[in-house]
Amino acid sequence: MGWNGSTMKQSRMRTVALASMFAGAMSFMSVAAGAEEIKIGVPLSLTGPVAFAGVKMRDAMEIAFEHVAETGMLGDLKLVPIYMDDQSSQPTGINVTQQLALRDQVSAIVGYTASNICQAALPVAQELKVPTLNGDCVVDGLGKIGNYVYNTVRPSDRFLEQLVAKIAAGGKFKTGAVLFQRENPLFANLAPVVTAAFEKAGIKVVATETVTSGADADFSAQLTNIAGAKPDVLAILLLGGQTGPAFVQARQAGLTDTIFIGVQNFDSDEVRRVAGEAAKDALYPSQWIAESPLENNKRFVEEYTKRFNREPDTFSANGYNSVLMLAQIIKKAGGGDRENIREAMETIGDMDTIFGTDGKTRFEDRLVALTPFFFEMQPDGTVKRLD
Amino acid sequence: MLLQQLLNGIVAGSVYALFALGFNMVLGALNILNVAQGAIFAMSAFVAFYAMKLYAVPFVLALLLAVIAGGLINMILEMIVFRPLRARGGSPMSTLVASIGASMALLSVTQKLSGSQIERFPFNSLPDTQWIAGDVRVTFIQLLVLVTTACVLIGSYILLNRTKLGKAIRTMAFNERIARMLGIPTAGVARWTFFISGALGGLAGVLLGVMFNSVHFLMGEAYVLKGFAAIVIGGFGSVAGVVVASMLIGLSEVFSIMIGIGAFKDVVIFGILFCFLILRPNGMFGRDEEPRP
Amino acid sequence: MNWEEISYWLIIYNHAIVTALINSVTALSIYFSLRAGIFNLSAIGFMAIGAYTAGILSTRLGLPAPVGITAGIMLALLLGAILVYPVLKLRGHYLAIATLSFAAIVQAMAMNLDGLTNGPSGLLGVPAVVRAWHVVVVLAVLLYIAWTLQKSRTGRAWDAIRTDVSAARAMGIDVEIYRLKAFLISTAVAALAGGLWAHVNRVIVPFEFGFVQLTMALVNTLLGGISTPLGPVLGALVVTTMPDWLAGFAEYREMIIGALLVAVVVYLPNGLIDPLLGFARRFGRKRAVKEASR
Repeated sequence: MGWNGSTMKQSRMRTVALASMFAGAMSFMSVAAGAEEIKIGVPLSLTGPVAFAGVKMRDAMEIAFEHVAETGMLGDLKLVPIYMDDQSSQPTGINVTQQLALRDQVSAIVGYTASNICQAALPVAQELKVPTLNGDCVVDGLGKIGNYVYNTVRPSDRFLEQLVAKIAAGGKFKTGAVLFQRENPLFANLAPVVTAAFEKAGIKVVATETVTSGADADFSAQLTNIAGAKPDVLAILLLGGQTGPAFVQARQAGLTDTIFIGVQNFDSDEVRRVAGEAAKDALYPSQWIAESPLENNKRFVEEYTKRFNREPDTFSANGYNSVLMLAQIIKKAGGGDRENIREAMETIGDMDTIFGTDGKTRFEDRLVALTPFFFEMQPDGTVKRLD
Repeated sequence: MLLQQLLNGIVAGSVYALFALGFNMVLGALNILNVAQGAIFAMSAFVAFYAMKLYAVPFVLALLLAVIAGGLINMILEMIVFRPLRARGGSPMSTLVASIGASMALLSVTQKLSGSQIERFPFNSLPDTQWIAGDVRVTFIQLLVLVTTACVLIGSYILLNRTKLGKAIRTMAFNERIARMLGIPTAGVARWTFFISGALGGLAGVLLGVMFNSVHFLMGEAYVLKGFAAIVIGGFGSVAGVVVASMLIGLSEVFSIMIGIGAFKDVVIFGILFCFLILRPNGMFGRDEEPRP
Repeated sequence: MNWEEISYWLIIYNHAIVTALINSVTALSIYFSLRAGIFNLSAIGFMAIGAYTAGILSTRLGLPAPVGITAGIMLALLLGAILVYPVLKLRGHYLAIATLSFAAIVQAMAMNLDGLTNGPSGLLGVPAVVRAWHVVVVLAVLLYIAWTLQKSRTGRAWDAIRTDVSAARAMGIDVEIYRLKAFLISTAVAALAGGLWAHVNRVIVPFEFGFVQLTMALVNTLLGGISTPLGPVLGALVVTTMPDWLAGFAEYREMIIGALLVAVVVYLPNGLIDPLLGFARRFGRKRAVKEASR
């Protein structure tokens, strides 16, 4: 009754080795044919709980890769994206990173959706010395992973602090409250930041409530508690899919005049659709707005709306932007060599982006340097920009 | 504020009850723990959503569609998964595992069809009105959920005690072999039990989708575990028990939040569940007999 | 097939292989309980305990991995021993629900005891010292233990209990002790899997120890079947590497697994491995006949 499990492994190994040799031969042939194909790994969460964000990123990134090819900005170089699904799971995220780096021999990686996957997979990309652009995770510490890992987004803590300082300037708000999602490190870390910002601005924090998971949809108990404390301003730190319902339920719980503040995800299609009137006067900082008149952004929004029948949101914008910035880096690097790309990331100065007012940014401490807009949501679903 | 929280708790409890009742039916009658109830919950909600969004179907009709869809899907599950399984013996373990497999497949289909998106039922599907009486605020939909749960409760009672089908279900729940010997068409009864259970799931899915302004393919999963708790605490097979237990769960959640241990509200519920399992596994109203091995 | 190609392949798929191997360990944990007829779904909870213990001890106290992992197993056994008495009195659905809620409680604790586990942000910086061959060795040892147990009195007792509890009792088998044994072995193996997991993934978040992961572990075990300890291992290996060999269909992975699980449970109650073994046996027999007729 001997176990020949090794037989199964061997034959699978053989198939894969053959396949990779074949793929290697193919790519060699296409290089010889003239246009240099540069393989780009794109790991995203396409299944599982974070899929709603990952799928939007992928859609926008597909458009971005097409635009890069259409504008001919890379001349003879052709970017070939290889999409992989990390299933919203950490081990798979690490696995996918390794495969893109070692099996597919990508020149660079751009993508990633969820923060826990970033925290696990980015160090691996660093170890494997693959230049990587994180396109969506905004948890702390991602700028410190190493010289191969750069971020085309930045954490919202500073944005929130600025927002709080801004609204406190009028002295109108005396009391504040915080509602945040416990399970997500992004929000669990922002909660103390907002609390500290409130205190610093002289706003007394009268209630703090948590929502356990990203799947929760009923906040009536928490909001009733908060309503009992009568805060002037309420920081809502929840996933986009929960923020909309939270607005509605908050108004229903009695927080009729409270001002809501939050982060970029207030700016999603979901929130606007769901919250409707309940979003009146809500304030949030954002590095991006769909209506931004920048050329690059207009192209993106137009194509996205045409193809998917809905306006893009933060996740799509993050995805598009990361590819746009990647293309500029590759252009500076002049080719698909990893070391050249890494150096390009380090030395590239100003870059075009769809974020911000002037559409320009640069890397600071491996995070993009951005001045956020501040927006006020209107009851009819539009947003008004504050200065 | 206490009254408001009490109301919140009872509404939450009704929500759990609507879900758990569907669960409970199949468990009581056929001894099958159908985890796919969560997937059916979500699928039916999407049926209603897409009916309204793509075909401008009015809300009430969409709700009806969802209820029927839920019933049909569950019934199909019974026919292709549980019937052959039970024919081969079908231990509690194998039926639970089969239902997990079915749940995975259904969830995946729902995810594909909905594109993983989180949707909302169109504005004004149901009136937005809210009544305020002093410190307490009740919205139309909250009231609707309470009323629906009460109706379902009464309906279940009538079904189980006054109709032929109901009597057949109760006999099957007691002992399937005896039921068969008495000439009860157990296959047909099983099918109908699943249909009703799925229909209840569909009803719950749409109502909750409207109440919480959110329809997502994973929306049912949180309820599955709480549904387990409701069934155990309330007692397998007892309709009243499940409803009372669901209220208990809703109230305990709200209470946990009120006293500031909201982060641990799930732990509290499972703790209660555990105590019941150890001290009184038949739950509050379960039949006083040895739980089936 | 030369050595260079093999080692290259092993490097690329390193993480996938290690993950698949650790999933095999988890699957074996569930196997031991199922073998004795106990529908024990606590595996993921004990895995979390093993992982966090190993993680905390290595990041906070700088203890080497084997110490942390062993400590995790000890802690899990302690908790398991406390848990087992009330739980083993239950049967069928009740047992499943009880163990499931235990796992849910562990996850909730991990999420909220910030001081200990760093909550949702997760425990970062766990040294990635466990290599694939470590896990292979562990797996080999476990398989050997499983095999020996299967043939021993314990294994036969488990089979009897699994088939018919009352009959087993009537035959004089001390049902309680054997179920206890199975439960505790499951507990220890799950914690071991967790400890290994921690030192492979570097970051431990509560999110990774939830219902979804438990379902996958169950799927791994059952697809392979529990008639032999190889079943869960094979099931884990096949399912974990599925995205790789499913390629274009990867997005349908969950649908396929769900459908497969249903098909297996209904039509192949002994899992996928039985028909394979049957085939192998027949092949072996054919060869033997051929040899004999020469």
